[in-house]
Amino acid sequence: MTRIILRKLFRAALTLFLVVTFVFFVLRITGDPVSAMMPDDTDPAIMEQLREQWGLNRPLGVQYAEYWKNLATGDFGNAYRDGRPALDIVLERVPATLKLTLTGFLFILLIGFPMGIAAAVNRGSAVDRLIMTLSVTGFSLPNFFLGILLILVFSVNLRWLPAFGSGHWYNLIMPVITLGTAGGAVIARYVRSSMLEVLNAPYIRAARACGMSERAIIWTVALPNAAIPSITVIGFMVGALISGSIVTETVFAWPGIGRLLIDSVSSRELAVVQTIVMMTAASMVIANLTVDILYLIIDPRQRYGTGSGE
Amino acid sequence: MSHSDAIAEFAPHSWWKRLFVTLAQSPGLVRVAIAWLAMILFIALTARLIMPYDYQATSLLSRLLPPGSTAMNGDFHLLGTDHLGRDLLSRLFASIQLTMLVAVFGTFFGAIVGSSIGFVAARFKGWVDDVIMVLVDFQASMPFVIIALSVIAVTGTGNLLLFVLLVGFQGWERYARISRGLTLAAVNHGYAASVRLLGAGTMRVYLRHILPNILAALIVQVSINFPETVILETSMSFLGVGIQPPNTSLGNLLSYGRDYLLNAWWIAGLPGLTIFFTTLSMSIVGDWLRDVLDPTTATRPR
Repeated sequence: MTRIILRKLFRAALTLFLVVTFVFFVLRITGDPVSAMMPDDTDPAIMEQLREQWGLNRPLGVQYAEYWKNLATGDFGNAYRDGRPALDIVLERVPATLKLTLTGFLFILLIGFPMGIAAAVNRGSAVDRLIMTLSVTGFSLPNFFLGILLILVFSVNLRWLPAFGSGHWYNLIMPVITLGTAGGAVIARYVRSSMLEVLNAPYIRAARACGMSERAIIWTVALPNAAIPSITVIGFMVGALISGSIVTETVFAWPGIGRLLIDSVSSRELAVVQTIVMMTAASMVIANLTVDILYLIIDPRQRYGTGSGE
Repeated sequence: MSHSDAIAEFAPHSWWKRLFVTLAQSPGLVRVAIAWLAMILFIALTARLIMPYDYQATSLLSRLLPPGSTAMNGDFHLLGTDHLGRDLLSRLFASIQLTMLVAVFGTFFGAIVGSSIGFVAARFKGWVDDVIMVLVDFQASMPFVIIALSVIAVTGTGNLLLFVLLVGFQGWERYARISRGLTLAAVNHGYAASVRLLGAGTMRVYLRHILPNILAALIVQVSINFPETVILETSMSFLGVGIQPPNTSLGNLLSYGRDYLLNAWWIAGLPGLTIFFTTLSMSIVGDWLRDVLDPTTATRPR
């Protein structure tokens, strides 16, 4: 088991290494980040001075080593607009995004699991068909359109909820629905199919033969077994939440990282963009690693490489 | 029966025939979805011919007219006008055209590049395979939109070709994984070895013999990827980092309409509904295609 964990750790480190390398080279696609960042009519002398200052005149290998050194010391560069460290600018947006994505995650689980279970238990019935229709609708509905629909109905017509702001708990309602609906729809499908698989397993028949009630079978035997594979989807969900928060934060003017990313891409604040990309990668890697290790602990079959680990 | 066996069973000719037969037996919902997609495709192909007005022509006297109104100059606007008095129906047609163009080219570009990468991994094995698989894992663990945004941040917006290629790259790792896995399995089948013994070159073996046999699985992946490409393009255009004016995509339309929700819901509502019905139809048709082409993977892979 230690060996499997070590291999996963190596993979995680490799992913982070690739992200840093990717960002380093992307910043140099156009040959020169200075001309990419500065307006076209900038004084050439100033551009040259910036190149000097950022060490862009040195050989690529030296720059790459320098890049790593800076990252290791927590130096992600400064924002061009106000000269503040990019890391600080990003960090002050983290709480708002965490509030949104964690609530969104909870929302996904709260709608995904019950719907998936209800659909599997009533397989083929009207309930199943309704839930599956909702699920297809849910993940076909682009989140930016869902957000606008919610604003149109609840802010413009009914005037129940404010279209933006982030101070109160009720400011979270529409963003969370916007962020979580597609994920909930995917989870519902996933839970349904893994429940159906489990419900066909011989041990369920055995439990029935022992005279267990249908309700007890579903809650105490089927559900725990069906929930195990669903853990693997959580890693995937983290990615979906991060990309979903970009749109959601923009629609609802939520002061988080997603909106910062879009603003920074539009105004070409490369230092901020690279900081966000690396933080995203780090959180994805940590999430995946946690899920993998959790999976190893919960499901003993994985420890001997007989499961579908890799 | 293994996955690849099930797919290998469908010889290229038999499943096209099968497709037409099953189309005739398809459920009503699938037919509605296919009809909608056919309409979208028709609009995309003929947009410039069937649009009632120039989609860029502004008219300050007929701003924000509701659907079905006649402007002061006598122009009839079936879907109303936007904040600059441009005919929304014409803009919708132009947007559908560009959105579909990006989606079709992007999807096929990604499918071809991704599958080729998978072929290369399966053909050369060894360190080539290792490197490709590390890249595949890396891509699978990063949200694609973040990668796309970081490239756009450097290159700037407004390069349509770059944007199409970038959007198309989404999902390449899944094609690579599928084509690699199935090719590795196919190479072990007798037919690949036989044609090679008959003197066929590598390209011929892969393109004429192995590709048709794994095509069904790749088409299933295209059906999953296509709506995702539409959503990626429209989201990025909506966020202002995709298609740039004077070009217009459904995402742009929606984004302009956001500022007029209070007094002109149709500017955002109609393009939004168009995107929604299109992705919904694709999902419905895709689900159905999946069941028809590949009975072993009836559930959506993660």
